[in-house]
Amino acid sequence: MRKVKLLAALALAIAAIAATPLAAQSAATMTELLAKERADYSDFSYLVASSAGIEASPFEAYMYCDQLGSFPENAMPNGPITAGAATFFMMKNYGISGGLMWRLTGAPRYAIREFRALDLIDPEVDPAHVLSGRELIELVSAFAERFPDATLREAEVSDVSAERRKAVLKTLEGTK
Amino acid sequence: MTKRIILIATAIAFASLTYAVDFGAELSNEGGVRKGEETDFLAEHSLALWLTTPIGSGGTTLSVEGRAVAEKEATADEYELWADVNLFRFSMALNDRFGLDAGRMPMNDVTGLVLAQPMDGAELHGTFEFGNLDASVGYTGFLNVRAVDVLMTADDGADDAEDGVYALGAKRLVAKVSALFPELFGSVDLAVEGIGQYDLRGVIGEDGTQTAHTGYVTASFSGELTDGLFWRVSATAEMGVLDDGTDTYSITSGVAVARLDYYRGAKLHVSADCLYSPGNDSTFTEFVPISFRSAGNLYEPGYGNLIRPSLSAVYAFADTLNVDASCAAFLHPKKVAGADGMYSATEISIGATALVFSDLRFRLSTDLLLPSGEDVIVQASLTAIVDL
Repeated sequence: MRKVKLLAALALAIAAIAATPLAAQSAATMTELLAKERADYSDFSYLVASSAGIEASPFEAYMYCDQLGSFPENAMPNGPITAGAATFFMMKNYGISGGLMWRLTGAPRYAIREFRALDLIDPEVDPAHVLSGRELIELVSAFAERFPDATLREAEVSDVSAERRKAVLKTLEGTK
Repeated sequence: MTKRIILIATAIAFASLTYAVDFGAELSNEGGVRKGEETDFLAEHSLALWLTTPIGSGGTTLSVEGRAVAEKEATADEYELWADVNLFRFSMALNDRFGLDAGRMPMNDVTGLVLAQPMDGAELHGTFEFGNLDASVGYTGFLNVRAVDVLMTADDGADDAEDGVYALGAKRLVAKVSALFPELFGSVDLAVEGIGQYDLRGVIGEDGTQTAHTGYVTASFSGELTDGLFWRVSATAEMGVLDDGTDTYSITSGVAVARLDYYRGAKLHVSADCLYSPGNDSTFTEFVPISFRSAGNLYEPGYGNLIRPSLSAVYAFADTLNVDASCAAFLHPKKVAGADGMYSATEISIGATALVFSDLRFRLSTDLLLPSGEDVIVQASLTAIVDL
């Protein structure tokens, strides 16, 4: 019964995507993301870029978001994204003022705590928890609902070192 | 696009999440003034540290919480220091039906009037089609008397006067069995509970001048009257013996509470209750709980020989500010020596809590005690709490 309900929910979600005047490619990407057990940085970047009205492939979106300099040093487009990394990125790049300790330190642990305090994420979820595609959509949508006027800050190319750009481009070559 | 993401998220089910190590700290600072016959200041500064971590891969978790406190009560001349570990609990699911907690953890009875304190022991939780069954056993002898009030005998009172950073107190074995039957009669929930407490003073450690063994049986009924209006009625019977070395006395007492709660959305909560506990007469003795608690904020006596009607309300102005007010009267069903009549005191409390940031809140509280035939006592304090 639970499985049937879940399948019905997924069907509804896919129908919702199909009903919107979006490119078939975007709908396909979202459908694929819903089924993913481990979402990655490019999936997250795709949602972030889409929310900002930027039409881009997941990899292009990753390149854009990576320029903001908030992903961990060792992050790669196809690397699994954690609850800690996603919440830190959103706190850092949407101008969210946050709690006292976030203002004082800007440390990732206080980013996820702000999400917990605002009831945007399960209060007991660990920062190291790798998000599934569905959890990632849930997280980004909860954030978008809570902060409808928040806008992604402008990326500066200088935020990313040349070495890092090279490493990411190597990943791109690997996927070709 | 944003709308589309929200639409999808509302259409999908929540997925299960995995947990790992988490830790944090809470710093609390309270300062205030009390004016009675004299004016005194009071303060409490505490730092609490907490940790939760999985143990192995079987789903067992360990939760630890400890704190260090420096406090100056209004009636004291100096600061006192103490430290405590109030939680050290292993939690595990045995199967789909049973779960087990072991270590140091909070244990409470269904009313909160008999038992409400940490204990070293184990608790087995069972979930069945008809309701929940819990069984627990605990020992009080390793607890810090500075953090827990077990005041059943004169010896417990002497232990409680210890001023060490960590002082051991009453040695008692406590066992509890409880059953909850949701919607047993229509919308009425029934909770029944039995608690037994055996005084180990003399069996473990030095002999005392008194020992007290007690048992408690509670039945609690609760339900919803109309939309947002809930009721609860509970009755606890206490039986036991007090041995002072030369004579043995029976303890026969109890406590009953009737309560109404009204919720209007998430903004307003109003509650009214009346508590009754008999005094000493030819049939009853005064109620002696395992965990001692004062019946008011400034009113210091416990729940023995007491009728206490009270009314309280909490209103949330916004996500960041709520105010609360309460009023309680304290009457003695059996006249106390030196008192003019049944009336003992009235207490009025008003407070406000402001969430300045998600991790910083301030609490302003004021209490006014109007005791019969004595000076009025007023206390006001401000507390700042930050989560680190």
